[in-house]
Amino acid sequence: MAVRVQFENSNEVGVFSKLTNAYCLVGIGASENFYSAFEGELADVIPVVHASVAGCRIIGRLCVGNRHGLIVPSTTTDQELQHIRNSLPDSVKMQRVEERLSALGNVVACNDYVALVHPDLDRETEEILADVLKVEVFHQTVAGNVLVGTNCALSNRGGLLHPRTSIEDQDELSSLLQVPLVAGTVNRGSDVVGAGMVVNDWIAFCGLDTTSTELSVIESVFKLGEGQPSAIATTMRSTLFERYFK
Amino acid sequence: MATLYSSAASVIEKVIKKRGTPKSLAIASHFPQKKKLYALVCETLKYKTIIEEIFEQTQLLKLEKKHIQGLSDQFYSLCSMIYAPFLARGELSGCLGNQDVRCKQWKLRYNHALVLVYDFLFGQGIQCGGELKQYITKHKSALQSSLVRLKIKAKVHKNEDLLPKEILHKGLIPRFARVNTIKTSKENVIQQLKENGFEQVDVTNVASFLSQSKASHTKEFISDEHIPDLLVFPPGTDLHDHPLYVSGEILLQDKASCLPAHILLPPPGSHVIDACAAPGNKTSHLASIMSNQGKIFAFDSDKKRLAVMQKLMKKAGVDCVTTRNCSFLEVNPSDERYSNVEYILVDPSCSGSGIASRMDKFVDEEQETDAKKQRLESLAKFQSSILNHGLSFPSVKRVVYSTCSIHQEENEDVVEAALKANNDRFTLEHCLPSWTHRGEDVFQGAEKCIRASPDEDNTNGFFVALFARKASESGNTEKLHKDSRKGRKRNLNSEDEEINIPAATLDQEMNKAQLPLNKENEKFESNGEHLPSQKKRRKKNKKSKESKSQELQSVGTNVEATGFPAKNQRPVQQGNEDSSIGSNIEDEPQPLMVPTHVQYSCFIFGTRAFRVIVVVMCRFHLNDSDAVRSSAVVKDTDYGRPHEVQREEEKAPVGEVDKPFLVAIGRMKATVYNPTEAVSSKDKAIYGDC
Repeated sequence: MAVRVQFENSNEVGVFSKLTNAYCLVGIGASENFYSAFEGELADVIPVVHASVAGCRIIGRLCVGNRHGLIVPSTTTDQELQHIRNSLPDSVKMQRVEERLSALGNVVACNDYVALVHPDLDRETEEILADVLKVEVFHQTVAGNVLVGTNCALSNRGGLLHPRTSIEDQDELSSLLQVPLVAGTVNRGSDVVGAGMVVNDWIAFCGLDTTSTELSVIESVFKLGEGQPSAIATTMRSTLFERYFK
Repeated sequence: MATLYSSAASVIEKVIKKRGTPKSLAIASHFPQKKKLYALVCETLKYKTIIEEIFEQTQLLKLEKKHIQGLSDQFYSLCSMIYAPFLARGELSGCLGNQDVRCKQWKLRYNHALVLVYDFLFGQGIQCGGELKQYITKHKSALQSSLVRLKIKAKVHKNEDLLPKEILHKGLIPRFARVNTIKTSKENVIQQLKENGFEQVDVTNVASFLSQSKASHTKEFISDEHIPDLLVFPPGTDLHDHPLYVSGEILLQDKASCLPAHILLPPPGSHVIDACAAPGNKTSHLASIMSNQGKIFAFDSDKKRLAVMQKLMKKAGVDCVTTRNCSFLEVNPSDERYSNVEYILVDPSCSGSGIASRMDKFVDEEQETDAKKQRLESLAKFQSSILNHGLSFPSVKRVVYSTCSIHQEENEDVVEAALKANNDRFTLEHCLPSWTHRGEDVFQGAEKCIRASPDEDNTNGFFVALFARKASESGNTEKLHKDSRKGRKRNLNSEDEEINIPAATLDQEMNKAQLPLNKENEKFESNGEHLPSQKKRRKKNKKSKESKSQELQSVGTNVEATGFPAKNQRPVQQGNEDSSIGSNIEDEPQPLMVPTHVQYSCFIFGTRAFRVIVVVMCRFHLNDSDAVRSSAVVKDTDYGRPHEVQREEEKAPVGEVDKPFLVAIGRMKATVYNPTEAVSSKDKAIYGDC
């Protein structure tokens, strides 16, 4: 399922929230509309947490995480760190890193197994990423752009890339990630797909301006709303037997 | 499980090369789980075009080829380095050759790739290990991505939605079982089925039965609306080991293939030829219709298939069949043995494109080439020659031509050619009037043939045409009144096939119809409509002196102007010129009462305002044994609005109600017919009497 939401008249959902398979962080806003949209969809399954990083609400661009862990920049205050750690499940590790490129969300894109990172990212940060998030790290660019986190949205089931990514690059990235990737847009033609949406394995949130075509692309590539594919395959198979072997 | 994939690949290879149908090849395969294999093959073929598109996007085959070739090149150079000294002496050349052969075996072949990619992307995932799995896992993400891209391009979410609509919403074909009336009766079979837990449902329409049974999946059946001895079960009902089937009391035969015998309808005791008989389903149906009395001569050129047929005949308890292993074309029509043959069933080998389980659609799609055209051409030639040969038998009365093809080349075109070649002796009969799916409109009268298709009729694709000897040719009509026959002969040219009614009958009915028609014609003249026909009319008017005949003529021309074939006009005129009215009413109906075999087509015209009926033409040969069947045909006919009539009505403006229009065109068989009474009590009476 893909849902359209808006953060105080902004479509950049990925800037103000961080969604993984194990938790969801939502920036503190003036109104609770944004938060309750997430809570309404996710509250029964994973914790939805109000959070800020370094006093900012652009948490989606500052931190990076998956179901194994969360990494925040050094500018995060102790109090914020404590609050987030208290709210997340115990299985999720948390780590603060000293990194020159402190907008981690912009320079790292990851799912639960693979991370694509900015070519200039520190060696140390890379190791922490691999340890905490349990991912394989690749230095990559997306559509010739170094800000991989801004320009792609990933889940374990698929990925959406900057619209100008060439087919060859898509194939290369998809062979690294081992998931299907397509190039596309969100929010009525915005090419910053990482900032325009958040996604995990069963749900996606995009800006209010996202067109239905964009939504259907998102639902296709992230395989949202398909139910259990294997179950369908097996039940289908048995009906096929009945139909074709008389 | 690797064997599943390799056997599926080899089946698909053969299917594509047209060495058999998926079903027969899957059953013939060595792989033990045939159902699984068959399902995999069918589904792979269904998705073939999509998978090919994925191949193109991912270049899977090219990449794999390159990889393997690269390997073999390396291997070759390595070998040649090691063995250079030996090679120089020419001792090891054979050895290296062998190595290349092995490399070729590794190459991912097209058919393997098809099956693997299907199961990986659309099926249950790769179920084997080893090399085959490696090929796929290596390209896993590329394959998945290209599938997603395809889906996005097609704007669909589900894999199944990628398939073209006609595949997705293909009409389901139910399981048909024909009761073998030689061994048992329909009541008996129904009784036994009921004891076995089946339930008879009171639905006549197959389509509605299907939609109903789809939901419940119960053991239900209905009896078919068109063919009396046919039972219909939901698709996929497994009857192959049912005791009734094993004992030969029911036969699993598609409805479409029951049609030809049902349409030919040879009476018990008659002599019949089944031109291309094997495997004998239709032959046994013929025998069942003839209550196993009479003689059926069955020919087939394939010895194996003929052996199968003999087995089937034995099982079905048919003993009036004489099989002969030769082509029907070699049979001499003037042979004494066949001098009494009045019925011939011609069901020559065809492309089989109508058979749904052959999945021709999926294999053929890109093959719209000359090869296919040539194949159809040569098939059509063969079919034409067989049909013409059948029509050349001296005493044959009815010939049914049928194919299980959907191509016009093999159907309407063959019939049209045969009709042209034999139009002095044979005419097309309007078969099975209640069947709505008619022949494609490629020649005049093509609507007399019938077609069947999975989508419309829930059967396999099929085509049937019924030829009947012209009454003037057949011996029966010679008994008819001499005078009327003379007149007829004079006016009959090659195209007028249906005009065999004694002129007097017509005239007499015209008289009854005269008054209202009179008015109408005046209106017509003043309207100035149908200008082209007016000239004709006036000319004729000059010739004829009686005012009555004037009216009648203009009815004839009117009909012509509204699009009815011109041939209708002639008998009307002739009737007027030849006969004096008073005497006809009593004298002329006589020939109609001659109790010969009845086969009679009647055309009825009238006006909306007055409901006047004019029988323009009909043809009779009365026969006692036909009484039951004739009533069935009459009941089937949709008197109110046959399709020709509807067209007519659309053309007529709302205001002009007085314009003559076609009330009904129907073919009836009648045992008793009294024209005087029929006309006096108008249209209902006519139908009531027939």
